[in-house]
Amino acid sequence: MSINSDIEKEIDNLNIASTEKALMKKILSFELEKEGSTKGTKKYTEDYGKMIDTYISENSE
Amino acid sequence: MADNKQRSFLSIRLKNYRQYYGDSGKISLAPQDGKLINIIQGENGEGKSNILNAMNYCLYQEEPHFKSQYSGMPIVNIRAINDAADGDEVEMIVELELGNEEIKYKIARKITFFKNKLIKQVDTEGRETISVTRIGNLGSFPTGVNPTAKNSFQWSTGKDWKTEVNMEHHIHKLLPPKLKSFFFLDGEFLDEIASTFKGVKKGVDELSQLNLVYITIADIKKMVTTYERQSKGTDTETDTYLNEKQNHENWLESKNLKGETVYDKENPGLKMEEGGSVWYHPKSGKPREESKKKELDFLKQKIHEIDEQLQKNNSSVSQEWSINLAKIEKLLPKKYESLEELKSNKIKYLVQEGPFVYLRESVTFASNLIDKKRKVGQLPVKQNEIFVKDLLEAEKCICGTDLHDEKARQNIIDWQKNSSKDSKLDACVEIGVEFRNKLKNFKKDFSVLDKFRSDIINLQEEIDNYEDDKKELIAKLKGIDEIKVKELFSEKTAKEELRDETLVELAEIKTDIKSHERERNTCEVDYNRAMKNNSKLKGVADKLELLQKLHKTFNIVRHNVTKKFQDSLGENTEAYFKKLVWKETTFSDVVLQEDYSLKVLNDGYDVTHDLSSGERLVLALSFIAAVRQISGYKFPLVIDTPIGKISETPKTNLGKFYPKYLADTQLTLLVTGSEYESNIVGVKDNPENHSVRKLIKESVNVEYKLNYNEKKKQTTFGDYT
Amino acid sequence: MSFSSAGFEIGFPDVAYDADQQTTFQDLIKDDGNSIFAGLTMADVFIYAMALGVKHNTPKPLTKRIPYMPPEAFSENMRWLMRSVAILDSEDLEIFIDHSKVVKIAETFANGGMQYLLKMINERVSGEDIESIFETALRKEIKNS
Repeated sequence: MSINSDIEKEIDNLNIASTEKALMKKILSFELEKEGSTKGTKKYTEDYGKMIDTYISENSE
Repeated sequence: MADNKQRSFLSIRLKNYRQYYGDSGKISLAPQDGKLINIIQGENGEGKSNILNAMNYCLYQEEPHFKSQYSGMPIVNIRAINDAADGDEVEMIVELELGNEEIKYKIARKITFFKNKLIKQVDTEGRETISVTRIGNLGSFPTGVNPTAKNSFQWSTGKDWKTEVNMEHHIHKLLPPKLKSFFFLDGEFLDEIASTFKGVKKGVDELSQLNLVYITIADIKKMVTTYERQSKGTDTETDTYLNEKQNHENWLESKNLKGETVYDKENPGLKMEEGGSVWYHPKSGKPREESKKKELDFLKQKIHEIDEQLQKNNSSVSQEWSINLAKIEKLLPKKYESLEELKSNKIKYLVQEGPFVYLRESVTFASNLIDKKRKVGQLPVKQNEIFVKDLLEAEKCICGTDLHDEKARQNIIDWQKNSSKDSKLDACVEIGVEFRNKLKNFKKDFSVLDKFRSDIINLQEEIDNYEDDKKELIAKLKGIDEIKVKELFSEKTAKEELRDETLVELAEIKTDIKSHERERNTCEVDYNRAMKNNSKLKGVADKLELLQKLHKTFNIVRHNVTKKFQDSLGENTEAYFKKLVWKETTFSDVVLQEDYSLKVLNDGYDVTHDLSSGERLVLALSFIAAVRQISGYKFPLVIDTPIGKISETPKTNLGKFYPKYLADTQLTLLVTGSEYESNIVGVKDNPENHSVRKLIKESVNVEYKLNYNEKKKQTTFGDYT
Repeated sequence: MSFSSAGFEIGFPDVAYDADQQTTFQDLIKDDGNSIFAGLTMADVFIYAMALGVKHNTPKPLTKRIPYMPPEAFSENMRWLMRSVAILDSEDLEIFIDHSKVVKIAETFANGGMQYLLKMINERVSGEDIESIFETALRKEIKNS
């Protein structure tokens, strides 16, 4: 399953950096995956945290 | 596995489910030649509604369209139970196939148990009944048996079938449970639809993936909390800002430090249901605002209901009548009193003045006689005692007589004594004056009597007019229950006062919320800054800042997408509804509220609960059509007894428009013979009196007829003849 | 009357009606009665009867005097009307000093006038206001004066 096109469109319309838009879509996909998976909360939180860390390190000044 | 294409039921198979004894085999429902309407016709009690139940059972292990005659029955066909010997295995299957050209799904619920000796109960009147026990959500079974379930969810894009483990999850993806009532529509349970509308939000959110956005927002908040917790205890300044921020957030969410919702127990809200429990508003913030809005809506609705009742009593006018009648009833006694007083005064005048008029001659005579005697000096001048005394002291009379002389003095004194005898005659002088004045003032005209007469006539006329008005008002008010009207007005006033108070409070809450939000944001900024200034917390600060930003942007997305969905849904629902309902001008608006409940308005008033059952069916269908259109989700529809309860024109409209409006949706109609085949009479758009069957003939795929055999206790699918 | 008559009025006697008029007087002033004098006093009846007696010049001596009406029942105005009747009847101004003579003369005219009073009262047609005959008679009297 993929992200609803209306939601994607809204994200694209936001007045934010394209990297941030990409992050938002990534987070949504992450959440979609989480719904159908059997991963535990702890693992999930770790992965989520890693995703945030990666974004920050890639986009820090 | 994902796809969002039109799905249809391809087949249904029932084995020993309820009255479906034996194995029906796959009953085909698959569309052919693009025709999407399936008809299953059966009379009441023949198993029509249980097809709906079977589908629900297969997908959700629920049987929501239950008729009371089955409530004590096992879910497994009783003939199958009776025919089996003790120890034999009894099997029940409900299987559905649905999908499209690209993907097919097979969902099956198979229940097996070994038959035991049936346990019987004896009721208080000595009757034996077979004991039945409900086993979880499997259904009811003869007591003592141990049913096992073997469920499966399979899908295929070609030849091979793949099995999925998390069956419920995948079924929910096909059709969320919250929406099922709109796809398995029971015409006999329409009253539930109004409440079901309210539950639609979650389902629609899921369809539109707004649910995903909500989850995302919630998870971001959790991450924020995690990081905030990590920052605690490191720095006093950051702790202070964080605490302040959390205090504002707790206020905004009406939560305490433990995260529990805080309620305003000192001021209970209105009871919105008969016999309902006490309602407490959350103490602060947005939850309180929402709660108060609900109360406000409730009050507005109640006021509207009272107005309707008052209208039935012509109340706005009748209140005026009542007021006027009360005024007249208060005034009339006073008017009557005044009239009596006038009449009494007139009589007194007549009694007093009458004799004088009749005795005018004698008064005139007396007056003239007095005058005559006075003129000829026969009446003494009223003596002046002081004058006499002065004379005696002066010792000289005015005529010059010396009053030293004793005799002269005695004459004066005697004269005084004699004239005092005539003091009675003094009265004559005065009475003569009185009589003369009276005669002078004697009104020869009738002005006094005339004034009495006209005053009495005018007052009498006034009284007569009031009496006529009173009679008229009493006649008008007859039949209007004045006490009830007074009670209604009183209730309305009380509710209006409450409503006004609530409006004021809502305005205050809004202001407070904005204020707390501002302060919270300020605290957040200060907190972030303080964190960044602390080298130990900079890393966490960066993450928090990002998450806070994401929280805001996702909320914007949520808001915009929600609005878009709601607007679209509302507009489309309204368009479908107005086309399908003939009273286009009666309903001014169909509004989809923030909580996704539908409201039908007539000139601004909520008339949702006043809709006829036919209109409610049409509203539900309109909503489904709108949901389908917006979400692009095309789950097939099943409707039980869809036409029986609606009148001729919507029947015709449905027949004519339905295939167009839900052109891509498979529709399975469970109908009775009469609703399907009776001619529709008296509709302008249907001059040939076509039945529903004739109207939708072009779109019908298959027609089945259910045949129930009472002896065999069995329903079977038959061809339509 | 504006003059101080207290001294002069001393000795004004009770005023009488004839014995056979007693019931009439009482009936005429009954509160729930049908007459114009309902709720008023016997003095009012007496004066009116007297006036009608003078108008018709029908003095009638009393057969049996019942001096029932006290002097205080008669206002000054009433007493001077009685005096004017006595003066007219005797043509003697000084008669008014003698209260007993004044009253006696007044009584004869009241006795004689009662028949006219009763006639006016009894002539009333059902539904007519009780005072309408009196009003009509009075209007006529005023017109002819």
